[in-house]
Amino acid sequence: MASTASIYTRVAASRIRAHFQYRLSFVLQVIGSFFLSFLDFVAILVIFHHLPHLAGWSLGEVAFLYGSSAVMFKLSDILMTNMDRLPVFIRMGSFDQVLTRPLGTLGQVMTGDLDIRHVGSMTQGALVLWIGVNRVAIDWTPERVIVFVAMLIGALVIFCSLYVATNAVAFWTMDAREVANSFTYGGNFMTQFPMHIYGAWMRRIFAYVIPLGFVNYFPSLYLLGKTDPAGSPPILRFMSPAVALGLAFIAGSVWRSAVRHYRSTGS
Amino acid sequence: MSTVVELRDIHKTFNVYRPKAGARGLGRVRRERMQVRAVDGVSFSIDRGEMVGYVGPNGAGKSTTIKMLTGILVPSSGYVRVLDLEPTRQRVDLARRIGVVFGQRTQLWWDLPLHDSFDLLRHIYRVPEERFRVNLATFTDVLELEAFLATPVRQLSLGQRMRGDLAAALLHDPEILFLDEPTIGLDIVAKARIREFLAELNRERQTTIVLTTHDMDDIEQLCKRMMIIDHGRVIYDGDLETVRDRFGDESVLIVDLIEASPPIEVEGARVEKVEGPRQWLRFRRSEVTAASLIAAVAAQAELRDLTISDPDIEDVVRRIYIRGTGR
Repeated sequence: MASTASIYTRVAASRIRAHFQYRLSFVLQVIGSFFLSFLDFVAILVIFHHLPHLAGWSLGEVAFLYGSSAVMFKLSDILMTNMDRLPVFIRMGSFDQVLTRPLGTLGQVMTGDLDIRHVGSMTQGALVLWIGVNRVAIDWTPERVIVFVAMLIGALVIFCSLYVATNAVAFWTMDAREVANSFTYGGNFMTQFPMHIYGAWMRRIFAYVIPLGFVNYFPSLYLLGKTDPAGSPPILRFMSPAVALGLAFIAGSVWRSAVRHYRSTGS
Repeated sequence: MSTVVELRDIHKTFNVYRPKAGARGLGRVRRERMQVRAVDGVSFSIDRGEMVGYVGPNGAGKSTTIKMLTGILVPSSGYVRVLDLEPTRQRVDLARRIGVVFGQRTQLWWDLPLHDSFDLLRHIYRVPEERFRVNLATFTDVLELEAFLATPVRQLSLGQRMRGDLAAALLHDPEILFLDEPTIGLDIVAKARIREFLAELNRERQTTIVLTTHDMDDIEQLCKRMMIIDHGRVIYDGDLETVRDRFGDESVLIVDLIEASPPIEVEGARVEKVEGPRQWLRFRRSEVTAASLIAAVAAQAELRDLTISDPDIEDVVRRIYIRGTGR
């Protein structure tokens, strides 16, 4: 197993190197991605310019919420660069190639390209998170450190699973990028605000259907010592790792059945 | 001799959707499902060290068969074993032991130098370092890759890329090499080079080679055994000479007469074309020998020169398709 991982690492590294080929263009695009994603946060700053609190949350708390989701979403965006190209892969027959190699299909698609330029916006997310952490006074007990780390890992797993599960639909429909993007990019956008600002039915969807609440909101309630005005069960605050695992399992199953579909239809 | 590929009564059916006939406006959204039998009961086996050409018109089921042999597609029904493995279930194990080249796409990384692609494949296929060095040196030499080993794949010509792809598919010493249209789009020189290489590979390493092609020269120069597939069925499986004898016994005698004359009438042949003093007479070798025909013609008119043109294999195969002859 360790050896398989090292093969993937090697392939991934070569993809990353390929992006460095045009150094100036690379640097410019990283900077561009950094500033472009900052505009995103400016929208939140504008809100706080007019209001001291947003639904009971301070600027620091929202920055914490935003940053923890953004940094992991951008990382998943890098890891899942090729998911976006799946329809092209399928149409051009490149997926046949994937099936003739002695490696798993998902690993091959993921390591087929890694758009490292997104480190720009990932840095922006990390910066906002850092600001958030510094503005809110969290008492970093070992339990809180564990929940914090588990929240970040869980967020990455949840976003990656959403990418896989929604893009795999392309095997049946040929092109489902718009739908997939509404889950991934749309999902990321929803997690930038405290979940209780949304209506009751939306909150329920984010807790129990598309579990975006577990990306950052529920664990942040615990970390920041907040209460959910909508009164969600307190146990949800510690459920992120379990939810992430469950979602990863579902995404894996969807992917496997998508590949099975491809291998029986050839398209 | 050991069998490396075995197919028994393989079927592959695809669902194809098309708009309902006569539907207008919103009705177009409704579709009709049609079943297309891409491969319809194919059986054959291939022994180690064979070099087999798989030919047929577009859509005959060639690529579908190759895809089932390489583990890409799952057959609808039937029995497949390649190197005693079931391609669908043991895809990864099989992938380590076969090489696959699709003429129209590359398995190289387009933005990497050829050498870097090879190096990645070395790790993907877990080729021992020593083995890799020897193989790379051999292929670099035979396929003359040296000049562009450091060139990114996207800058290679089609012929160079194809040579690179062949080397890439062989670095892990596959026991069987599957080639789908390996010479498509190449110029004559590049084609000759690829054929030479494949013949040598088969001879020197006893690598079993299965190739699909449109180009009958590929078959003529490489394969002792040819399979012709049409409408998803194997309509011929045997050597090249037999196909010529069985389906291509029509030859053409071209005579240059001293002076132009009306079409010559001789038994067993008919004049196809007259052009001044030159006439084309088509005849069946099974009915009349060339010698007796020439004698008969010479008795009627004075000859300056003559040639006999045998049917080329392409012609033969075309006729087989048209006839759709079964066994």
